This record gives sequence, C-alpha cells and structure tokens, in this order.
Amino acid sequence: MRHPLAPHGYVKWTLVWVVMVLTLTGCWSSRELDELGVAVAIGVDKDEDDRYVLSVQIINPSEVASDAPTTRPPVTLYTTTGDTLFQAFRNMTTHSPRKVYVSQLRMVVLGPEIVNEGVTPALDLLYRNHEFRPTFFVTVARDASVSDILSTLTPYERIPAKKLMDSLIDTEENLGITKSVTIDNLIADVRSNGKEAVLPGILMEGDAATGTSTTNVEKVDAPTKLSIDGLSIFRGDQLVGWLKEEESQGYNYATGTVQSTIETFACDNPGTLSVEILRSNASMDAQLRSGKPTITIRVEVEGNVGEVDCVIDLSDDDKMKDINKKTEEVIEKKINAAINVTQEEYASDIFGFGNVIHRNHPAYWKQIKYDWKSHFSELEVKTDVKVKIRRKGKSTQPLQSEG
Amino acid sequence: MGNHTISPRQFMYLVILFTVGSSILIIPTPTAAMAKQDAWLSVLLPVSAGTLIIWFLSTFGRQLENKTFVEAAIFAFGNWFGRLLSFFYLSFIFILGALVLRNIGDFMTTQIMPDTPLQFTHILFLLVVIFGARQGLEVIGRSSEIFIPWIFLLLFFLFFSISPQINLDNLQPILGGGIKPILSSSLTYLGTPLLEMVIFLMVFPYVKEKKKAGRAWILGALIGGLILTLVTLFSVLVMGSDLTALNAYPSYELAKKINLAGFLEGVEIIVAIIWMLTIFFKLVIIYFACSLGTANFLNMEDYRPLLLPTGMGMVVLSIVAYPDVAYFEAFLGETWFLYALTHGMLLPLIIWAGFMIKRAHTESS
Amino acid sequence: MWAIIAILIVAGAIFFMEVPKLKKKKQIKDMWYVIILLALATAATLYESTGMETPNPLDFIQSVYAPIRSWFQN
Repeated sequence: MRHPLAPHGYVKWTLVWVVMVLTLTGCWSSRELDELGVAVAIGVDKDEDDRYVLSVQIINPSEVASDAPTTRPPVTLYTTTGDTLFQAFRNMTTHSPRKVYVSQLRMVVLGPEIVNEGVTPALDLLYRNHEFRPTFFVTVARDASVSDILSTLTPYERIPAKKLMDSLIDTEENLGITKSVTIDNLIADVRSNGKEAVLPGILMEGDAATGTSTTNVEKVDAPTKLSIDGLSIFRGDQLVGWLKEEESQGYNYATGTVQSTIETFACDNPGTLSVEILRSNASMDAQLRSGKPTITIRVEVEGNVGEVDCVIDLSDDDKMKDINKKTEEVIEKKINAAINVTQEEYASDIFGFGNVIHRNHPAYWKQIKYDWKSHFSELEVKTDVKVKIRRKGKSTQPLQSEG
Repeated sequence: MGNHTISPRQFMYLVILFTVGSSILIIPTPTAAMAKQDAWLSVLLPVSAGTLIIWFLSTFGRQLENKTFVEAAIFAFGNWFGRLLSFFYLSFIFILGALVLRNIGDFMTTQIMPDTPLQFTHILFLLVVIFGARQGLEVIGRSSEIFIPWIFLLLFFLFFSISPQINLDNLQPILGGGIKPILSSSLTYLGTPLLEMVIFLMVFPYVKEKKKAGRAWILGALIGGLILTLVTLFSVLVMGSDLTALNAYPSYELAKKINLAGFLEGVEIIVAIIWMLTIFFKLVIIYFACSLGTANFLNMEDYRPLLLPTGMGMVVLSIVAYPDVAYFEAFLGETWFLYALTHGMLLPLIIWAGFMIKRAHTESS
Repeated sequence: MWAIIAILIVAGAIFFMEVPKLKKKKQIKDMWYVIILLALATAATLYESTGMETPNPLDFIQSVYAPIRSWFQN
C-alpha cells in the first residue's frame, strides 16, 4: 500500500529538476568579457592632499582586435582619487563604463610621491586582492608623472603596457642595466631584514601632451618616447636614490642576473675593444673572521670578442688573456662602484648581504639582525671576477691593421 | 550492511586523498610561520613519526575484524558507556566534516568567487558529496582509482612548471632556528591530517585482505605526507618562508606564479582541481563514516536515509563553526591538536584496551 | 521569510525522499530516527536562518580544552 503523501515518480523528478535548475546555472559571480575593462597597467601615486591617485590603462578591445583601425587610441586611461587605493579602485566605476579587471595586469608604475613616502600601504591591496596574479612587474616613474607615462602612446607595439614590459625584459636580458621585479619579489625584499629592494625606472623623453595623442605614433620617429632606466635604490619601503647605468650593471653582475651585455675598454693602442658577455654566474659567501663578517662575491663570466676598433693581434694567446684580464677589471670596477655607492651614500643593502650572513652564520645574524643597517656600511666586501673569452666572431683579426 | 568491500589498493588511494585533502591548503602557512625555512622538515618529521600512529590504528583495525569502531565501542563498553564514547567519536567526525566543508568554502569565496554566499558553495559541494556517499563504499573506492592519476598528473605539472622559479637560497640556513620551532610546528601536521586517520576505522572493516590493507594504510599515509612535504617545500623554495607564511593559500599562489616561457600562465584554476578532488574525497569518507557510525549507534539497518538530514546539520555547523577566518586559524593553532589527540589517539587506545579485555573475557568463558 | 520557506521545502523534500521508503520496508524504528534527526536539523537550520546568535560547539570545545592547553604550554 502506497502512503497517500508519498511522491509519485514524476513528483520526485520534478523536485530534482527544480533543484538542479536553481543551483546548476552557475552564473552567480560570472562576468562576461563584454562587461570587463581589461587593465594592463596601473599607476599609483599621491596628490597634494595625500590622497591616492590611481591611473588605470585599459585596452580598447575594438581597436586592438580590428583589422581596420580607426583613429581612436588602442588604450584608454582613467584616473581617480581616493583616501585608500581600494577606494580609488571603486571610484573607478564613475569613470569607466566597465568594471576594471586586473588579472591580466602587466605592470604597475609607482609615482614619485608614493615612493618617497613609502610603498607598503599601496602594495597591500595589490597583493591581498584575489584578482591580482603575483606575476606583474613593478616600476618607478622617473622625473615624470605616472599619468603622463601611462597616457603616452607607443609606436610599433600598440599597447603601451606591453611595450614597457617587453622593453624591460629586453633591457634586462641584453644590456643588464635593469632588473625586472615582480610584486612578490618586491614585497619579500621590503619585508626582509637582510635585503633591500630595487625597482627599475621608466623615463619619458619628449613632451607629455604630444605623447597622449595618436599623432605621436603617426611619425616615423615618435616625438615622445618611453624608455627603461637603471635601478632605483630603496631603504625599507622608501626610494632613496638611483644607481647609474654602470652601477646597475655592477649590481646585476654581483647578484648573478646578467644574461647578456657589452663591456668596452680601451686597448693598449688607441681605440677600443668590446666584449659581448653571453652568460654570467655569481655566488656570495660570508666568512666570519674574529667576529667580523666579510662577504666574497665570485662572478664567472663567459663571452666573445664583439667589436675591435684598435690594432691588436687576436691570434696571440697572450693578447686574449689580456682581454680577459681587462674585462675582469671593468666588471670589478662596476661591481665595486655599486657597492661603494650603496654603502657610503645610501646605506642600503640591495645586494642582500644580510641574507647571505643569515644563511651562512645564522647565530651571528641573530645578534646583529636589528642593527644591520649600521653594520652594512662597514662591511668588507671582496670581489673576484673570472672572465673567459671563448671566441672572436667571424673575423680572425681586426679590420684595422698596423702601418 | 550492504555488500560493499574495497580492495587494499583502493583503500590506499583513499588514504592518500584523505591525507592531502584540505591539508594541502592548511599546512604550509602555519608551518612556514613557525619553522620558517625549515617548514618542510616540520611536515616530513611527523610523516615519519606518524607511521607509528597508523601502525597502531591498523593493528587495532585488524583485531576488530569486521566490526566498525562504533560497534567495537558498544561491544567493549556496553550499551550506555559504549554509546557515550561513540558519541564523542561521531561528534569529532561531524565537526571535522563541517570544518573541511568550510575550508573549501572559504577557499572558493576568497580566491575564486568572492561574491557568492558561503552557504551556496557549501550546499552545492555537499550535494555531490552526499551523492557519492549514497553510492556506497565500492563506488567511492572505484572512483578514487579513476581520479588518483589526475591528482598525480596535476601535482607533477605544478611542481614541474614552477621549478624554474626555485631559489635554493630560500632553504638556508637549514636548522637555523634550531630544532624547537620544527617540533612545535610539526604538531600542526599531527593534528591535521594524521590524527584524523582514526576515521578510517569506520571504513577498515570493509577492506578485503586485512593484512595487506594495514600496509596500504601506512603506505598511503606516507605517500600523502610526502606530497604535503613537497608542496610545503616548493612553496618555501619559490616564495621564501616569509611570503609563504603571509599567504592564506600558498599552494594556490604557487600555481598563480606558473609562467612557462611566457605562453603558459594563468592556469591556477586547473591546479585547483587537486584540492577540489582531494577535499571531495576527504568529505565523502568523513560523511560515509559519520552516517554509518550514526546508523551503528542507533542500530539502524542502513545508513543511507541519514545522509540528507546529516547534510542539513553539517551545512549549518559549517556556517556557525567560526565567525571569521582568524577564529579558525586560532582554533587550528591552539585547540585542534589537543582535540584531535584525545579523539584520534586517546579514544582508540581506551576502546582498544576495553575491546581486548572484553574479547579475552568472552573467549575464556 | 524566503529562507524559512526554502528550508521547509528542502526539509519536506528530504522527508518524502526517505521516510516512505522506510515505512514500506517496515523499518519503523529507523523511520522515527530519521524523522527526529531531520526535525533537529531543520530546527537548527531555521534557528540559524533567523540570524540569532547560534551556540557554537567550537566555543565549547575551546573552553573545555583551555585548561589543558595552558597546562600544556607551561
């Protein structure tokens, strides 16, 4: 006997259907592509009233995707202010027709005000919010406002953020005067006791007003350009200065981040000789001698003869050894210049010597950890560079010959 | 109770999935906060020490023959006291279930769908779990065979594709803070998942070839523990101990950092399948054990009618269990180990002793 | 209001999915257990949905273990 209240088969199935329809639509937090403004670069700075100024560079999808581009720019820049960075982000809705989507973010440009004041408050949101991947690069605007940099249109690569990112990586890989820093590297360095942060700079050449118009990219030689600059030095979360180009290179040699670059020096005869560096390796060690730490930096470099503008006998093995030695001297000089300027002028341990001491002598590190900044300036650092020039290109001898 | 039996191999898979489930999200952060660069040691250490616990549990399981833990408790201590002890055991499983459910809910709402209310994530996830538990142990065991290769494949993918970003300096100085922080942070791993293994005493009676099954239990716990060690190790190797401790879900952050030659990136959601699957299996086992135990407790014919009412209760508990994430972190750090110790070690010891005495008594008379 | 209706619908659905089957199989005792557990779960859900402060078993566990914990730490 069936219970009068027991459901028939179809009642049960209807229930199942209703439940499924209600739950399996799966669109609760869905956001379709046509509702999103894809942000590729973000600029953060502060204004006179100590409010955050947020600039977001958003892709114009119709301009980037279409085969017949119009005169409209490929990206749009929106700028808002807010008491906090998060507030500035939400204020964005009053300007942008679409909700800003930041998972595809390529680059964050920090403005001059905020790097002088301290970057940690701005970094928190960029690391806490779930939409940010920790893979974007952080840079500093040098001698220009963030919004000027982010509103400059670039030739060849239509999306300026992409151009900046590519240039940054290229400069790092082929010239070694800068270093790409992702947000989590930056946070780790800022928070670490034994290492200070560095950030690459972005320079703008030319007039800001021209850069923001599409006429900028209609010329063969764009009047306003963006370029990657050397490294900035931080102490804690504040910017304290900039490394010169050679010093930036020295820094990269010491930390082993140089992949490829050029070293040039004067020959014995008038003229110069350039060496192409192909790869480099660096290691640091800390020794304790009578209670005082010494750091030894060992750098191994491999390269080829790249360009010879002087008279030299390249078939002579002694001459090749001489080239090795001279290259070593040049690199050593760069490294020492970088160390000197950070020790004497800025007292900022960007090399991470403190971390080296921590790794090699944890007990000693514990004693001086909180007093590291004062110890750093008196730290003795030795550099030991080994260069191996392997080949000399297609030519066996310089084009210039004696006589 | 039904003719569901699983093979020792399937049992081992379930143990692996249970070990990895939800611990893969929970373990790295507190261990890295306490043991710093030695976090991986504070997982590896209890993994090896835990073999002893598993060995005891599996020996006990073999002596129980075909009795579940609750049946054994009632057999050993009689209708009233035995049921009282079983009640503690069942409440432990129930609370653990609610917490594991909340873990996946918290993860989803923190990292993937912040606008979706917690309840709905919980209800949807639990519906699948109930469906799985309703199918019985045999189906659970067989589906673990289907999914375990995927878990290993995805783990391999995660480790492989993040390996270019490894920095060995992050591990030094080894033992720089001494052995003490390692020991105290290894309690985290002992509490979850090692002492939670007592739940398998509800499943063990249904495993064929008890001797092999005991070994499978130990082996499964070892493999699962090694996976968790590797996850912690890679988190510290790639991000350093400071950022690992700073992240609520370091393993997901690890997946977010995957970038192979500039073209393979943004694949974290694929890696997240690892914890979706492992937490699913962990919950299915918890759920099966909880309703089966309740059915034993009430002397019922079948556990299946209990699944849905239990589910309602579990969703409520998972919501009210803690008001905010900080409460959970404190609970996990301060109380959970002791709670798991009394229920995962002391309780089985008591019941084992009672069971042995009672069995010797019945045999002699 | 809607929450209460939804909970009652769900509880009713569970009731009709489980109880008649048990009755048919003449497992009357089991049927009552299911009904009681379902009623308890529904009551808890309803109570929670009203937004009133729900007693939390974790608070209870923490207060039980607090003395052991402080002893453990010393």
